[in-house]
Amino acid sequence: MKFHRTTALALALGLTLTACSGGSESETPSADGGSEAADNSVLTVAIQDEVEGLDIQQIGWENMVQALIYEPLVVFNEDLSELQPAFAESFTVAEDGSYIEFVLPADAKFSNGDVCDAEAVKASEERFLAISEYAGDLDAMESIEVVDAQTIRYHLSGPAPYMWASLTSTYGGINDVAVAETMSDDEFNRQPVTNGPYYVEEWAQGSQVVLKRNEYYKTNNPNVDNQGILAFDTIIVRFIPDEFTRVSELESGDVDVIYDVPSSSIADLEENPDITTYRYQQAGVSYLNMQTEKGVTADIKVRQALTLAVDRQEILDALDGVVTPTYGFISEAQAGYSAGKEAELAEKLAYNPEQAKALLAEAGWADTDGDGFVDKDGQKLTFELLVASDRASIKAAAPVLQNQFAAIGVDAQIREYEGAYIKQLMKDDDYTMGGRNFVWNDADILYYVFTAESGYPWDDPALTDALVAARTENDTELRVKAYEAAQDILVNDYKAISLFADNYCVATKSNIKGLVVTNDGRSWYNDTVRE
Amino acid sequence: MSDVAKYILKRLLTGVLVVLCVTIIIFGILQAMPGDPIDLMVDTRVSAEKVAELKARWGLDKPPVVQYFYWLSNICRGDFGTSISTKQEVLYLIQQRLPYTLMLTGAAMIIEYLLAIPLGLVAAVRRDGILDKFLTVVMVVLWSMPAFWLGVLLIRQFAVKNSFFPISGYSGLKSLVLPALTLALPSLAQIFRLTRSEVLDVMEEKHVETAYAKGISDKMVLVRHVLRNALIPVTVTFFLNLPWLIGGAVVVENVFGWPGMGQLLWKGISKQDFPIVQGIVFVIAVLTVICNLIGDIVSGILDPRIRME
Repeated sequence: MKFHRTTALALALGLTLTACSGGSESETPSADGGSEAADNSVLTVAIQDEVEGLDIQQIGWENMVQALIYEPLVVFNEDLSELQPAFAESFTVAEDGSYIEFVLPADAKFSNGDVCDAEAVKASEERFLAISEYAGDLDAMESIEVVDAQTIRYHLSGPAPYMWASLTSTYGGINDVAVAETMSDDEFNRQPVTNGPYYVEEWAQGSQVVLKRNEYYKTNNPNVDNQGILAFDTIIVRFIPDEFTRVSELESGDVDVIYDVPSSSIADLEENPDITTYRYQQAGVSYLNMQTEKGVTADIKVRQALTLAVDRQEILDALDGVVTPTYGFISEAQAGYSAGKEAELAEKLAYNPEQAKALLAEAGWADTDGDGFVDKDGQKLTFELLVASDRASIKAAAPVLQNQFAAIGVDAQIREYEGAYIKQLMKDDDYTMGGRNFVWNDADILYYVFTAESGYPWDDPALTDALVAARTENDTELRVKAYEAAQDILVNDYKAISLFADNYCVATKSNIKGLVVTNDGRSWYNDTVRE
Repeated sequence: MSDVAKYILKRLLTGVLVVLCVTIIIFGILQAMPGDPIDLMVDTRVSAEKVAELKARWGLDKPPVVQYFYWLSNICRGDFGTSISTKQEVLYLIQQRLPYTLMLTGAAMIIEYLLAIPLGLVAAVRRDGILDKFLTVVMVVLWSMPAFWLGVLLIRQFAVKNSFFPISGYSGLKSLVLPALTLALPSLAQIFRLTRSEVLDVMEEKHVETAYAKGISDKMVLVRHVLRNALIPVTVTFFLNLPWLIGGAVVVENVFGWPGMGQLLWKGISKQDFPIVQGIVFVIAVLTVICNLIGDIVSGILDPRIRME
């Protein structure tokens, strides 16, 4: 019995630690979600990955944090069919495509109150061209002219509608270069001064970014009702990498909005009356790239057979509907999409295992040894199917694809590697079939994927010409037609098999109203309020 | 120079070699990984020329040996370099996160030892009894639990179903409880078993029998003669375990969104961000060497026989 006291003491000490800690005060604004959630001036958002930096001109990828601190001069409307003003009051494109002119609001300011006039915009664009990894997006820009304090003109080498994708994105936001020049790049990357609806008050590494409302903010974006300052004083963006934890935070009410909702939780959240979900689509597609110059897939009939062996419905079922099947290479969430072309390709490339088998037979492949796989000259039709281990959907689809290929007698051996390594193998021309994906809100991404510009060894002059023609076509309808023609060339060569676009989900507490999530994943918080 | 000073100097010099070896091994492993940090970082629409320019900017176009010595010479001057993916100073990133990791691992170790030592003592005294067997089974169960699963379980029970603690993030000591328990409970078994077996060994020694024969109370014998001697290896293990716990915190930090070094290390590895991985491994290696040295010194203080050797 004497040890009971010792045991009790130990347990008491342990519990004391717990109990003592229970009384501590919250030290950061986001920390005690419960108390913050009750405050109408604060909106708490949780995202998966911590931002790598906040200066849009220094970073390689962006998310909703940068979207809240930058306002581009122009935006696409919700379905990406029309250009509209945002930070700029108006804009004009020269008929011959030689320049774009923007008119800025007379009283435009940065979040610190500095004047954001034509000179400031010019300085910001020049900094973008000098330091951004994506300066190539604006490669048609020859010079920037300040016409007057409110008017700025971008002189172009020729029509370059592909630039709109960058100019309308967060990358088109404006930095206060006068401030940037007084700080180191590292410092400015942590606390940039910008023109968006919020500014960065604090970035607690590994934890959260605290954004404060920009009291000078104004927009001309016609897609939102509130074109002035936003309702929430503070938006706290927390970084919660674990998906279960992120969903739990939303369900418990500690956060108001979560991004990157795991597919396994979407159905449950949709049934929850306290939660509202918003779906959007990958602005791009996942696809299988095939070797055309050597090996078993050098024969176009084999490539066509593999294409017709893919049953996208089966993939969709296996992936619980977290993807949207695609037959062409432009998804609905990209400018340049054509529903007509997608329907036409869906018919042309429909699942047809019998025709696939017949094509293999035409190409001289037959199962002579009865092992279930076709062979020719004593060689089995086998290859490695490279799959990116860091792409969940294509990784999950790989076994389904393997079975579908096996059903027509083709032995695909799945090999999982980091996506970057697969990219390298393709650049080295050391592959037969590999899963890849691309994301960009404009069909111009095809130029960087399927021409020599990609750094890959393939180069189809006809396809390159078609993609160059499409990217320089100013007329929207003609541009869509040009991309239809480019896709025809790509499909007729059976160079690649388009599989699907990922479906994504944003979830909010149901009392958060007015959030707009466009089909390509942009979030507009201008009309967002807590009811 | 005294023998103790010579001993410490010798251990420190050995420690420098250990740290060097660890950094070389990690650098080698990172180099052997397929892919490239710039390719991982940049988007499809970045041109091949720009990619080459970025590689040159980060020195990734140079041979691995040159890259390593460049990193080593910088770190000797206190420059941990700049992260390839975040473009921020690695030293700044580590400074921001190290306190949180030390707080988490420190709290976990306190919980671990406060629970494991008394329970180990009780189990030894009640050897082969029901309590001993029960505790042994509980420890095996805890030891078998994956940290992420235990973390999810604790979140579900104590943060979602009952709002006793915050689910994730750092918001003061209250938010430390669940991650610290998640880190501590699976490793409880190790200290429990060590304490139990050491207590059993010491209880069979003659000086304990003599103490009982002198009529000293059971409590005094156990505390002064048994526990004091049994705790020497347990105390040394405390220092040896600290760096291991930092490594184990990677998963726990991820589940609880804890802003520590583990998350940074995980991201550094997945993005092949050499400066971040090398910097954190360097810090962990240095901590390991220091903890080993402290462990040796403490065991010498606690047990004069070790000092003599």
